[in-house]
Amino acid sequence: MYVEKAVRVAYLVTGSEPAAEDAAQEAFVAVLRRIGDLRNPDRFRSWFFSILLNGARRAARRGRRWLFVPLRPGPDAGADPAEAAERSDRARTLQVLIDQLPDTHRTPVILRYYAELSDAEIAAALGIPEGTVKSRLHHARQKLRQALGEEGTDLAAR
Amino acid sequence: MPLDDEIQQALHSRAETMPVRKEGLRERIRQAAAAQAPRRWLTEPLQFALAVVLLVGLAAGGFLMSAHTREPAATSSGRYLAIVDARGDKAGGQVHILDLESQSIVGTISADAPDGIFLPDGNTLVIGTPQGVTWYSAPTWQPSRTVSAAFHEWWISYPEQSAYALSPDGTHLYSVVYDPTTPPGGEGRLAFQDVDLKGGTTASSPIPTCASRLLTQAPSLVYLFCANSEWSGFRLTNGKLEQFRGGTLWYDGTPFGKDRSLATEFLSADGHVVALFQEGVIAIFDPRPNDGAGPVSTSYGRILEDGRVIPFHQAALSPDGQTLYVGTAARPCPNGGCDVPAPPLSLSADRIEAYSTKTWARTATLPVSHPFTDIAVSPDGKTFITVSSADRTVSFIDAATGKELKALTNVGTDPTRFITGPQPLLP
Repeated sequence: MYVEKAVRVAYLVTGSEPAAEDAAQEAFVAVLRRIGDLRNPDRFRSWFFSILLNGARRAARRGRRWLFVPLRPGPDAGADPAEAAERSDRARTLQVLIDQLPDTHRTPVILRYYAELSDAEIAAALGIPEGTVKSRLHHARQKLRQALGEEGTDLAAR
Repeated sequence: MPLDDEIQQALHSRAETMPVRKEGLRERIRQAAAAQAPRRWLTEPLQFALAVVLLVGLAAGGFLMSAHTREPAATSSGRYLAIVDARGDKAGGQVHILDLESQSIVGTISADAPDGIFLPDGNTLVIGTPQGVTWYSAPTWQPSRTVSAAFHEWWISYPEQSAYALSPDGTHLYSVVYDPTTPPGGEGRLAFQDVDLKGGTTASSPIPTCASRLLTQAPSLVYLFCANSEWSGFRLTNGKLEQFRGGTLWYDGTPFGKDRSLATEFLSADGHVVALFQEGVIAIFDPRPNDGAGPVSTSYGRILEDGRVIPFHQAALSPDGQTLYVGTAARPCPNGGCDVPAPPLSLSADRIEAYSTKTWARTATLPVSHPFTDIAVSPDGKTFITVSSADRTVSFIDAATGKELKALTNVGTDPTRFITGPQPLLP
């Protein structure tokens, strides 16, 4: 389960499938080697994701970062085609807006909403205070809300 | 739909556009792990435990006191050095007092899992054990005072080990403690004891990270480090411990401690963390400007020989802080990998290399006749003192020529490292 989750988190962070696989591989190998470092089992998730994110950063430094990944239509459960199309547009717009967040805000968003880490776990994974995590998530939501409300799909077309 | 749900849905949709070849990836992981041949021995429980001690425990350079780590190989501040004689910091250890003037062992102290420091006067040795801290003074080396302290249990497999730090003036004792009811791995607290008050915690504070190493070079300042690169800095102000910094240490785009390749580390008197990595990198961290939100600015030196990175084993600063002496082995790393120390044999160095701490250029290389496990420098900077656990030998070496001046043989049962005085200032 963790393999799939890990590689998808790395993919969201790097935007690159090869980089995501590299990062996940690196993270699991590191975990296998360093499991003895883990003093507190409750911190496994944050520890693991910190290793994963570091791997993703390295992959990015190898020049694979920010490769453009064409948006693909996601699953749409809407019954009404018009409503479904609108919802799908909005979801894709949101994806683009999230991509456009600064890294310092985007990564906590990914860890919170996709990896489902708590504030404390995000703080530990990123090596920042928990208050900073709360603040960044708040600002990220604020930016997304403003962008969706005020600029709508225009941003998606950028 | 609430925005939170929308964000979640958008991320899931995006993430699921990536086809995950789970089996292929698992195979890659298996192959990558297997390709790191020296690590095969890590799969053995006993060897893994040894690896934990070697890889983390060795990363000790500046722990002024830390029973689970190697003591910093540093300059002696006076006439005496102490030799820890206890492999793996097990119970039943000893500390031998080495008189640099007579070049002989003048006393032996029994101590479980010992570690310690010489106070700046050079005549007072403070030894920490899991039970507490005891003062010994020249020339009798009899115990003069003891402060009991509770030190945390941080490795489940090594419950007797502890993490603590004593300020160079011997007045401030820091430790990470746990409530007795807290199981191993539970949350800890940083505790401060005013040594002059003879024990008893006088201040404590929750710690935000794990703390496998404590460093201090000033009475009111202590740094906590975790093997996963997390760190935090605490200040003692008006009797209260306050965290003033924290985050992740980086060097050259890599988290501090990544891949556990740290060979040794210490805290210079001016508060820089000097870390030496097995890959041949020296990283200098200044933790003070770290705002906790990003990489720390570092300078580092990469040491190459014939295009090949050579590993560090031990290090010692010259008394003036201008030169870093590094023990290295000329032979290549076994199985082609240097990022994990090979089993114990490779922990012996067979030459001493000198590096300028200003430019990090290598200024000298001296082969030595006895492979050694730790190195120190005499107060005048003219003599190296090395200890070899394999040979049970202490050697005195002319720093200018590399010639062995004297060797003491049959030293203890397993002499592995030195206890020295506080670290010199970096230039």
